[in-house]
Amino acid sequence: MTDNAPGTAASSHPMTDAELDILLSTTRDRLEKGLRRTINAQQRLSDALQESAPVRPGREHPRHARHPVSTIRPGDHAWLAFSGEPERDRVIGAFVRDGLDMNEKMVYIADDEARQLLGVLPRHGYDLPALMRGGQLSFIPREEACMDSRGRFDAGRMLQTLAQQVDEAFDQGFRAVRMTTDLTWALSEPGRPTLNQMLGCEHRLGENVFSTSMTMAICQVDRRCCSKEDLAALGDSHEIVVEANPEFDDGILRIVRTFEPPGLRLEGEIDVARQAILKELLKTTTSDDPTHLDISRLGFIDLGGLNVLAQHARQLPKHAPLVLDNVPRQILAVIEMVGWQHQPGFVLGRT
Amino acid sequence: MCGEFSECFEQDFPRLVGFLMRLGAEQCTAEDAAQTAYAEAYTHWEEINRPQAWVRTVATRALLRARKATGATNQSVHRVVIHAGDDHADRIVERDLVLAALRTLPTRQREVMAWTIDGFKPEQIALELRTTPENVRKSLQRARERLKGMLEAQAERKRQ
Repeated sequence: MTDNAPGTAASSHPMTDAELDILLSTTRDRLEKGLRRTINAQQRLSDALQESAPVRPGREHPRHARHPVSTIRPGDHAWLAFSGEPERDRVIGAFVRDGLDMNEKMVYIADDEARQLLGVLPRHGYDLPALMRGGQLSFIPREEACMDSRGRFDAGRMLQTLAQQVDEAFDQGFRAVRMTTDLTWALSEPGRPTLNQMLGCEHRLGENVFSTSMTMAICQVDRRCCSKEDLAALGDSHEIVVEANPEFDDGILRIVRTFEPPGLRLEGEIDVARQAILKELLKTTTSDDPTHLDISRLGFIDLGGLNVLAQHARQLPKHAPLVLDNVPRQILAVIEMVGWQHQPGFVLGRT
Repeated sequence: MCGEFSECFEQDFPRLVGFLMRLGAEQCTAEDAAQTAYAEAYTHWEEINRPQAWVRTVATRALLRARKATGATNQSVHRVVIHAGDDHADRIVERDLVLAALRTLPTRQREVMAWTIDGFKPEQIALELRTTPENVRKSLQRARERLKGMLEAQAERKRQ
């Protein structure tokens, strides 16, 4: 009955190669056809993309968790790739002020004569000239710190300068030393050191200066001036990545301001007790550009919390909606069930 | 890149799952391993020269890892049993029969068979499995003999 069906190798003579081939190929095609029907390819595709997300090129290495700048401890060699002056000033300002408050030596390698401390404003009330006279704050022009006679970056000199500063600081009786410098110029200006030179310098710094002393440093780079590969390589040579201190953190919910794209990152859980702070911080976001909320690490949000977001979104101008990025699946389910993705001012961003 | 990737994914994904099932995996395990392979492929899609061969190699490894993790052994079947039915059911049975027959093969022969069924030439297979084309041809020959024997007996039984 099935004798004539293709691929049914029912015959009295031994199976020929051709018959085997036909059987194999027809069963392959049937299997594939069946699989095409039963596999949810769209779902599998999005799952696959999600699975690959943490190591997608251009993103920071997953093992670099971001640390708030206030959690830097002696021995840390940290890295800040900032995307704009507000971000840099906020992070570096907090770093410098923490150091000055805790009576630690601050070594600041700067490129201009202005001798201004980024992010330290008159309203913070520091008497900078006095601090410099007392030796707690030391400005080093970068020509002196790390350039050779031709104005190029000199890794050896950099190491020497820093080691010398550290020794001096301990002689002066400081219990710890903080350093920071902006390395963007070295990567973007003519006479640019090769990336390997920089990496070598960073590596040696990490080994010699930080591993053995009460020193902490933040290397800054303007991410707009660097290629993704350079950023990744430089990022790899640092132990930790710093970011601005969270705007709010009570152990359950943490809200961090993000700068590229501008917005907030919500981590933890939003319940009725935390709606007020969320509302308040949403008000501080700009309404000139779309506000991005990264909620990838938000474990829970109740309907009241979603309502706060929706109310905020409703009064936003059309060109600057509230964009929800990296929405976890369980939260997406809630949003879609309520139908909020259709509401004006609400956009589901990248996933 | 995304367009190219998703196109390739759509075309090849069910085929890859079939490939893994011919290596002896259940459908759900095969789908997971295929997904893992494609997730990995996405991260360096630009650098992959022969995507189809690449995902097959990676998916095979993922499958072995999954087996190790779950402690599931290589599910070989020693005797192929078939209950003859008719029409649609018959075809499914026939399909399962071929899968079952493949599962009785030793690992290397099964691998070579799976690659061959997906249209790879012995030279390409040798490259992917890191062996020589001669070895591939030999395994292929043995596998075919065994399959023929098994499927023949099956067909014979069915006719009666």
